[in-house]
Amino acid sequence: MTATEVRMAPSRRLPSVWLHMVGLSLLFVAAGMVLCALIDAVRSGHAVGALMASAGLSAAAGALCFRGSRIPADIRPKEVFIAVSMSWLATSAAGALPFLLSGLIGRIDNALFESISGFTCTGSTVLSSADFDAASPGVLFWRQLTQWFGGMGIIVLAIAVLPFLGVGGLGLIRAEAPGPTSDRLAPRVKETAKRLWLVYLGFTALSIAALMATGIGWFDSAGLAAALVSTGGFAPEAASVGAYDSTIVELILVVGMIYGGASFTLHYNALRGRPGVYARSSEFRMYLGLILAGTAVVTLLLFNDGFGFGSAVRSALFNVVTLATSCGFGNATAAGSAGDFAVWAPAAQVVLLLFMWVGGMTGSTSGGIKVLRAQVMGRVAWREVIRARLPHVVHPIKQGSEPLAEPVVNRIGGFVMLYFLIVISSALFVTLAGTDVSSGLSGAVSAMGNMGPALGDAGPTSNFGIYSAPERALLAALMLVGRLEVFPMTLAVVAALQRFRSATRRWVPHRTGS
Amino acid sequence: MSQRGRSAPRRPSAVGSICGLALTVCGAGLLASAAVDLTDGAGDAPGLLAVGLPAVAIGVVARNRSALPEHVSPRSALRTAAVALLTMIGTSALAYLATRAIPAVDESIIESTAGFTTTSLTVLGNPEHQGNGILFWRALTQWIGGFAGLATVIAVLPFLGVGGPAPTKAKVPSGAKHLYSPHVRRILRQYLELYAMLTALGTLLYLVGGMTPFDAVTYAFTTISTGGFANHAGSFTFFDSPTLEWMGVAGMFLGGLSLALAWCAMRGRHQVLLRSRELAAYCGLIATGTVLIAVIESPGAGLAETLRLSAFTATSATSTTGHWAADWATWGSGPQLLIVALVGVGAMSGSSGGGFRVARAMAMLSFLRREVVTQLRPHVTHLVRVGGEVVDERMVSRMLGYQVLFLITAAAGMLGLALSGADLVTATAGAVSALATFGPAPGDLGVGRNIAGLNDEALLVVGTLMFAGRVELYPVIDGLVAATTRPLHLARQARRRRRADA
Repeated sequence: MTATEVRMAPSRRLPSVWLHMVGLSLLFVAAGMVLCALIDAVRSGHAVGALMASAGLSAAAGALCFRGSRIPADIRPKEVFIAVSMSWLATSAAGALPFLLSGLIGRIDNALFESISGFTCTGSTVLSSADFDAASPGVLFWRQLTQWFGGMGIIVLAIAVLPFLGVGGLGLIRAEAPGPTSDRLAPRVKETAKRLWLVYLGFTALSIAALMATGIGWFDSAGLAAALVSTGGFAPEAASVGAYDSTIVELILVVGMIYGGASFTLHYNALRGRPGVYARSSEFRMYLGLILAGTAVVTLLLFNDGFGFGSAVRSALFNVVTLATSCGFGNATAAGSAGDFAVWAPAAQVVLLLFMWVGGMTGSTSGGIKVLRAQVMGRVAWREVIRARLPHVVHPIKQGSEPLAEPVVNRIGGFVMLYFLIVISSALFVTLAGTDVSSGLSGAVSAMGNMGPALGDAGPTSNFGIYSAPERALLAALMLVGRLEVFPMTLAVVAALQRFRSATRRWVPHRTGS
Repeated sequence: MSQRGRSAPRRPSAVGSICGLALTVCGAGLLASAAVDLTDGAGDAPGLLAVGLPAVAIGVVARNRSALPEHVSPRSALRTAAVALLTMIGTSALAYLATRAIPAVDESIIESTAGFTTTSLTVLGNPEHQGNGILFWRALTQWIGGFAGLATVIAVLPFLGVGGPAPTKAKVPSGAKHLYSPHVRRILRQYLELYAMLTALGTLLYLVGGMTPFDAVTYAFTTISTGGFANHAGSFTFFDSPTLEWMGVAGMFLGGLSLALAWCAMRGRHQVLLRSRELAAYCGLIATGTVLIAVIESPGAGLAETLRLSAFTATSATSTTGHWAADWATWGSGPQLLIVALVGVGAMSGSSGGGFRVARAMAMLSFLRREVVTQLRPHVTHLVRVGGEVVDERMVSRMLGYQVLFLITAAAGMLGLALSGADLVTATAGAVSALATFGPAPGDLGVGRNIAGLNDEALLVVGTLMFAGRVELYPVIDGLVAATTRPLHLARQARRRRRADA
């Protein structure tokens, strides 16, 4: 990465960046809790007190942090990484309060898991169907809302903050016409965020309206929409979308998920009267192409497996889209029904597993390594094939029409390899702790890619209660690492280690200096 | 590799020359197997001779008629490597068919492929029922295949500009540099001598451990080549001897060891051994695997047995051999996935083992470290190092390409296996295991299970993966790409010609 536009302060450390951001996010969260308390009161729930208490605690902590700190003039990339990581942790901790205080989830680690799963827009749950029956509507709505907040955070993170810092090489890809940063919507993060939030709000409102038109009620509509636009995947019903068993609801969700898994920068540009941006984006073309090809293949496999044609298309389309966009809704009406992909033919499951790795587009709220990076890696592999025949050929990797600089390609390669390594080591840990191979492997892939359901025992009709407590803790950590595009968390850890090292061994000259 | 100056004019042809050599070697091996067969009179000698004699004859003629060209293009080097291996597989399959040891065509081809790719998958449920001649030939295919794979890395990859991927320089510590002379042929001969010496050492170990001379030789063949074929259905459990199992651990360790390092060890250059980070990582992997298996699975009755079985399994996995002393397919899922992970990383570069290779994994870690640190300090130049040596940026880029290719190949294999009907676990682990030329995998490809029961699609996928893994992917991918792009290219040419005519 060459110069980031963040000015590099020579030495002064200003630790208040993260405090300020944490304070701001907590205030947002508190407002959301108040809204949920109102909804709980309207739906005559029993958790108004718990929600108001959580809101009060969050607001107090948030106000303290927000008022007690200010954004310094000079911000270093490292501090932004730490601030981003800290605000996700803080909101997740605050978000666990309603679950705990209302008594819906008794254990603190499970409440944290649910909250992290929400704020990272993952959608893996520890709630069983009995829990759903016992839950107060306000708390269930809070569960949906965590994702919506997470989505807002990701929009800022994915479109404004991370590319700005060049995480995973994205900031340096300017070739792709309306790519993640090519025409940064506004020079300043604040402006960009505001405009994209407008798109996000509009998308939410439209989704609620469309879902209400199908007659599933305002509560479910709003709840589903919150999980839809953020590609989260929680649903207000225990059976997820399968509870409605309605083709029209599923179709609306499919369209919404595809929209939500695509780049918000593209959406913004298209809404400003330039719909051609979609066709010009090679990432968008690949994204749609992958979804179509995946649906076709899975349909064939399901058809071959004895499904009726209509049922095969419906199950294939919904589940390919839900995993290709990292949303994670399930349309299975019951365990073992058509939509339960954990019992599909192995080949169909492998296709879904591959989609879990890739995820949606850059600049969207979806997870995974992202289509753009997968595309670049595909080109790297192809270049290696060419080089095997013509070793001295100069073959730059292109994205759109312009070649990418080698450091950018390396950064993206580093991202993908680090992602792969983290998932495989986590899968190893989870299976060593006693889970079977397919649940362990797919659980790690699913958590890192912020999908929601996994394969094996943790399929769409099951829940993540099948993993033991330490395994769930690891999976929750993976959700955070994956959500923040791997590098910020890694960097936060590396930076902390380096600080620790330089503090303990100040007299040793730094090795990486030359 | 031609002897110039004979009377007949020679056509410069890399494929002709190398395949001639391959045929000659196979033929000679078959003749040797026929001789072995005569000692126990199982009656396979005629079949072995019927294939061996023509093979030698055709091989010698091909060698005499062709010469290795002065300049070999990368593409033709790739093609030569692939065709030579295919020739050997074909010859061996013919031998199995001619002797009726394996009467089915597909099974004899897969057995030969497993042999020459040093994979331990077999269609022989009861190898004991075979005559010694066939068993000897079966072990010999792995021994030849192990060296063929090594030769591919040494002789072909440099043509590709990969130089036996970046770590080449780093994998041979400075003390052993002169093993790399400019003449590939001499290097190969030195390697062959080393390989033979290691095999002799392995034989000696097994003899001391109490095997019969025949078993000792064949097991040494399949151990040093990291092959894993066994003369007995129970692999090492047949002997039921702790001593032999420890000998097996030592043999498999040697098989996965870089031959350049083995050479240093034989010359008493212990300094080089101590300095090699790849060796340290290789030992570290085996040790970690052993400890984790011992702690989590505790496969044996007492501490000694637990340690022995854990060490045996971890060494077998890391060196991608495939011999077994405990049926790890019945273990917990964690240790099984751990074994697959060890297999995926694989043996040291410059050994006859397979997998991603320890040196490449180290290069990848160094690369990752660089990419992370660069983001913290964007204005500082960070270099990728392997074993203390800086890797050229162009090599870094090629390594990344290889890594991605490896992952894509594994994913494609996984999909292929799943399409053939294998379950998720078998597909995932089986693809990695076959690509690393290990063999068994959790699920339907379990330890000691013969693969004759798999359907033809699965056999095709497994065979392709083994082949791709043995020749370092490039020749197979190149072949696949050529097969798909060639018709397009021809069509384009035809269209252009038509346009020129019009």
